[in-house]
Amino acid sequence: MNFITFQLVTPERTVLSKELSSLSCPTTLGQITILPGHEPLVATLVPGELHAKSAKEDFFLFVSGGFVQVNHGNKVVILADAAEHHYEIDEQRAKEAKEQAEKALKEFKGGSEDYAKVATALEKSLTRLHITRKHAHKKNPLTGQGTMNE
Amino acid sequence: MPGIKELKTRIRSVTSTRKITHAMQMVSAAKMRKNQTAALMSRTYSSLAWELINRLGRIKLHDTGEMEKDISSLSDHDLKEFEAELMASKLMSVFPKATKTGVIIISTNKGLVGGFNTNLINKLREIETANESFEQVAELLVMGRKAKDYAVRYNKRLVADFPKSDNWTPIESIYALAKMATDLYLTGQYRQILIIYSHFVSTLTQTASIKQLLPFTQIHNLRAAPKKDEEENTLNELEKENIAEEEELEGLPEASLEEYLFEPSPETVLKHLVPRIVESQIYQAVLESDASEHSARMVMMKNATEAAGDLIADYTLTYNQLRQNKITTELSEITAGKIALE
Repeated sequence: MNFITFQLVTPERTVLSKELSSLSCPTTLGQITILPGHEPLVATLVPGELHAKSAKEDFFLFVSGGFVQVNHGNKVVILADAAEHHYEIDEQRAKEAKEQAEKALKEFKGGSEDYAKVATALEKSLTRLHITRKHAHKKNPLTGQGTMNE
Repeated sequence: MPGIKELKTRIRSVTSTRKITHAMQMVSAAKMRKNQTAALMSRTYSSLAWELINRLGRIKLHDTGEMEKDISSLSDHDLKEFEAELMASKLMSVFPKATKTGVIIISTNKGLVGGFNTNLINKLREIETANESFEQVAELLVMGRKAKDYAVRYNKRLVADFPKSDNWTPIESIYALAKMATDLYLTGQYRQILIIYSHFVSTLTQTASIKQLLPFTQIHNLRAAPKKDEEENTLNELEKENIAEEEELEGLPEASLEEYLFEPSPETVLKHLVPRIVESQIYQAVLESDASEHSARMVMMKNATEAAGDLIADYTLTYNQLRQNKITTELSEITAGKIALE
């Protein structure tokens, strides 16, 4: 078997279910790449970019945290808290979210737990923004057009 | 035989009832669609999560006893971390001396859903009748007004009553319930935490189901438990499912169950994973229950609307017959009177 049977699910939906040749995802210890034949693994994900590569296409997605599980027989499952394809991210909204989080962080008064929440929110929106900008020149498979405004 | 006037009032009243039930049917149908999609969409997530924890449930973590020993040497921050790790491993183990059972029941707030709530209660009674001591050891955590009413009326041991939103249940609203269930189990007085909810099969079928929420290691323990274990005989269905699941797991090479690599460490991963899984399981039960509720109500209201229609047809027929009789009588009286005058 030379491919990974991959499923990316969030509580809301199944975001991606494909056979892949490789998968890179952001874990607590850094970006890891899973290739066919990987040994069984369970790892925690951090907000970041997920790169799924199949024989024909590449998928770039944003994940906001969760778990990756590699099983025997090249089965990989990601249980994500939230996930979006790069073309699904609304740049305008991501920008607003980032500004809001930055503002909240600046005016912050409260316990350390709340601070962590605000900081995570900022990190998430920053990553989102980064992903959507990075892939702006790519074509959106839904509309056939790039999201970059020229 | 009711009189003509009476029939007329009845027809009018049934007609307005039908209008109401029809309106409720439409409302339920709209809610049903929304809730059904939500329940089905998140099913993959929760079943994958459940599968994951059941696989991991077989891995032995640190011995709890061993972990407790070196607690004094830890700093405050470490202590916090340590407690979280301990929690994760405790949730996966059984407490052999524990007697109590926690039961979470997810019911509806409102009625007019047919046998929905009765089925849930019957499920509870089934375990009660099968285990003599169960009633004494069962503690209820209810979500939804109907289950609370039941617990109060029959003097059950009600531990907590969580409000259920009538519209959309956001995941945040079940955090409290998940936390409480976890905390209860961690006290070590509970041998298991069950959840009773209505599983959504289709618009026409919903089945009341029982699921063991905690501990996660049920697969091991059911078989390892001695035969006199009451639960083993009674939770037959549950057990059958588990055995099927177990066989499925056993079919895999042994290594796959033991040799998971954890990053950064098993404790850290489980610390994050375990609470998420408890939450996602409860949330899924709530979603299934919501989908079932609206489907059941939609069907009930549809039946009611149809029944009202039949009733109106019946009444109208009787009404017309009576009216015709009356006309015939009057006519014959008039004719008779006319003949008498001639």
